Amino acid sequence: MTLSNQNTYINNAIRNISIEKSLFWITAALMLVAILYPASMAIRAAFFENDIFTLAGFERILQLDTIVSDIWNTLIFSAGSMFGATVIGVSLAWVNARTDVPGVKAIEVFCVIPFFLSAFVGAIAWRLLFVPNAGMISMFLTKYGFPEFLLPDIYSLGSMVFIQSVFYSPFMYLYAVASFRQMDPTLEEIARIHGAGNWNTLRKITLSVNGPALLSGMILVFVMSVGTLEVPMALGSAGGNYVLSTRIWALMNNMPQDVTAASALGMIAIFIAAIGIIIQRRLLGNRKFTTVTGKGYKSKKISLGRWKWIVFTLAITYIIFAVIMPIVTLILVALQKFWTGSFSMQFFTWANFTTVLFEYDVTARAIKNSLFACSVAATISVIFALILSQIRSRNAEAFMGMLVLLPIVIPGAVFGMMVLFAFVKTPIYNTIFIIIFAYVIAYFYLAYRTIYSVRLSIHPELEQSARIHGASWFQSTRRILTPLLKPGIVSAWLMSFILFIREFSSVMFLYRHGTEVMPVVFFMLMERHSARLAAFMVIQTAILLLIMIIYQRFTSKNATGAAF
Amino acid sequence: MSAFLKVENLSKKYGNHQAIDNISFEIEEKKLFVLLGPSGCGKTTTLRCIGGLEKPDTGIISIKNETISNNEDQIFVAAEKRGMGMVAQSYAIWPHMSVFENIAFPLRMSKFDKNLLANRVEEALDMVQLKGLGSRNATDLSGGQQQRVALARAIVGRPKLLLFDEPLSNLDAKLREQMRYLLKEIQTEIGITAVYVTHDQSEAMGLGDELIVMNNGKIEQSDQARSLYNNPKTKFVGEFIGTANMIEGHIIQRESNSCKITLKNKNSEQIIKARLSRHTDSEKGVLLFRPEWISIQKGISEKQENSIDGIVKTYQYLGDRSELILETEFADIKASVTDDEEYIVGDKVLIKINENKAIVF
Repeated sequence: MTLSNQNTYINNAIRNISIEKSLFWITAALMLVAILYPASMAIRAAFFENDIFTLAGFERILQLDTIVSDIWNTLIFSAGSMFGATVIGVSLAWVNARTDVPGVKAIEVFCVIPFFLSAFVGAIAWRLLFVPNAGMISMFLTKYGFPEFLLPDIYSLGSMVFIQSVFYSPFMYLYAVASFRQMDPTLEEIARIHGAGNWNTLRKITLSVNGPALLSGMILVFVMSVGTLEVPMALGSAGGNYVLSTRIWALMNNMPQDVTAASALGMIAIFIAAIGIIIQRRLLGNRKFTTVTGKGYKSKKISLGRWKWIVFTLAITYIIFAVIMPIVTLILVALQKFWTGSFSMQFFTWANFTTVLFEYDVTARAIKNSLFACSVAATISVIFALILSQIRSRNAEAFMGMLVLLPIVIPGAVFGMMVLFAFVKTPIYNTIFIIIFAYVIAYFYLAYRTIYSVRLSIHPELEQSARIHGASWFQSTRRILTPLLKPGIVSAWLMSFILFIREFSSVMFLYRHGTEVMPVVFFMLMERHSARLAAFMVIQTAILLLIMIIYQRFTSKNATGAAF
Repeated sequence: MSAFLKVENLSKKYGNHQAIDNISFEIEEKKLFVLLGPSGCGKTTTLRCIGGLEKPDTGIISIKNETISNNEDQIFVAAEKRGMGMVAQSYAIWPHMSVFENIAFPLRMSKFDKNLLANRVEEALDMVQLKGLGSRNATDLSGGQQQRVALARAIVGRPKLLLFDEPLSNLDAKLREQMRYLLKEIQTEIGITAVYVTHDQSEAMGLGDELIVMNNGKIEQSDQARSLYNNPKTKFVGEFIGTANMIEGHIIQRESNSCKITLKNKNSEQIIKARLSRHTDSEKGVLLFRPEWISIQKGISEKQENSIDGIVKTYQYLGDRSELILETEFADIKASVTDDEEYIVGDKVLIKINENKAIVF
């Protein structure tokens, strides 16, 4: 190679690196604007009326008699769900990752399903089981003399916390299981050798070492619970237990509409979420435990002995509560002409399915809308994630770390309202693209982290050697990187699709006539037609399970854990 | 002196793989005992059985005549009740604790007097030459320092038995040597009995008062370093410890401790006298000798007893010695000589094998 040749190569390399960099920063800046602009519009809506600064919105919400109970309910609901989900999720994760419980593989698959089913679907199913006078279980029990006052009140705050915990625990589970699996098992073994029994090892080593990861998961469950409309709408509103998110929705959608007050309440919800995050940061300090893994021994699982079957039974109980019972209930209800509280062959019919699929225009349209919006949003997310995971520099990675976290800390309902404000004066407002926008921004961290973690595992030398052997940035990306990233791409796409299709809280602010997606129609049918609602939910569940099966086939086991 | 740690008929199987195959050995008090062997030979599994991290399939383990593991009597004392200390290959420093807390952990678990605890930890820190680093975050330390913390943690509670699972293999060569001296110093100073697992033979020979060479779950030989090197009982040990030249031949004359072996090839044959490792009826034998068990004479000379003709293939002058590879009719032979003779590639030499050292298997 001549000297001038060599120079051309170097020049090419420099030029290409800058293309790569500018592409990164342009996309990153776009993402940042896409998050900050809606946020600024929401702040504006809270503090300005007719372009004049005012605190009227806050004054009006302080005058509401319900403000104290709304805030109180939000705190109880979110904190309670956070602890409930942590207890369930971490226990299941520990059992699956670290013990010799029988049937681990099957239990593992079921443990994450409830999250994808969505808490709204779960809450509706539980409501069908326990609603006073018409619930399948409550009617069955009272028929055999079970005292009515001992039946759980499905509309109570306690029930809301319970159901939210059950359906958000998979989130904690994924956080915990990945962390437990990454931990060097020698850390526990050394503790045992030096005198710590099972309990001390669990408490002082396992849970403490994984503390930061668990805390991050907990805070996310907290923020998600502050912003969710799912359980609060399915159960809370009917029982008169409003939380901030349902109140915001009511202020925006009931007459008379009060945008300023709704935005002011949104600020309070963000404030509560922020307090949660500050507490987490305080507890965490600067610690991020990097566990040094030696080439070590194959991780030895803890022998549960005679506890084995008790633990197994508990895990199965969870699966029955969170997966089997809801799905079976929905199927039974969907197969009835009308719902009387118990299944009867007399009223058996397939009509609900044919109605929602072919006859009822809103449901048929919602299916099409959902599939379209979710596919487009998943594709956009993956493309953005690919661009944004390219650059490996401290600055870029730190920036991305902050960027993808921003939407997560905004409670879902407030986020929906923000996006609405951002587009209300644009033509996008009346189209499904406003929903696609919300999908991409709200869940971008998932696509990004999935692809980024696969990207990290690809040694830079693989690309560098391609570049040294004369490939341009584009060529090396196409021929070296993309094939290697393929599993990450497939997994990010499918996982995003699953999260989008079940997203409820933000789209409840964003749909218009003609742009309804499936969860919106759940809400519309909720008080009108239980049997059709159930049939429609069964259809969504079937789509979700189908994609989950494809996902399981396509990706390695670790991909989900890495993404969360 | 009676045995301190006694292992009898220990076996452990993983699926179809016999990790440990019925081994027995004893360790005297205050000695450092090395389990040496290639990876997968069962040495780590043996250590883990002693520590209680693994349950053996059969066998008895006892310390000071007190049984801690016996399958027939259903005795299996839990790891945390055995009163041992351990240093692991991956350091296993708890990242959420300070250096001080890492070291204090065994004391806290044994409900050690709180007033004396700080002193005891400082003393351990001092011993591993990390004085004043107690308040540091454990993960801020370098690899070598973390390994010292692990060592301090293992000794702070004065355990009955110290277990080392390849503790130095993640360190670079220079640190490894430093740690080796420190480790030996501390072990003798506090007079603790230790079991040390490694695959590195120089580490094993340097540290071990007594060594066991394991292969395929069985004990090949249990001896002191000097004996392992000079009197290997099996071909495996001879080859695994140190460098060995091996040439196949036919045994033609046997005596109680020595024999004569013929090395043959197409054109010529040569009779070599050497020690006989054990009585075997087989005709075939392997002559094993170390690079320094031969002497070299430059220039052509008439045939001598116990010697082979060779040609210098490579020559490296290393200051205190020279290392050569010599081409012969039978095999290439590695030689290490301390004479200050200079050799040139292609030189013809006569290789004389020391009959009192070379062994036939």
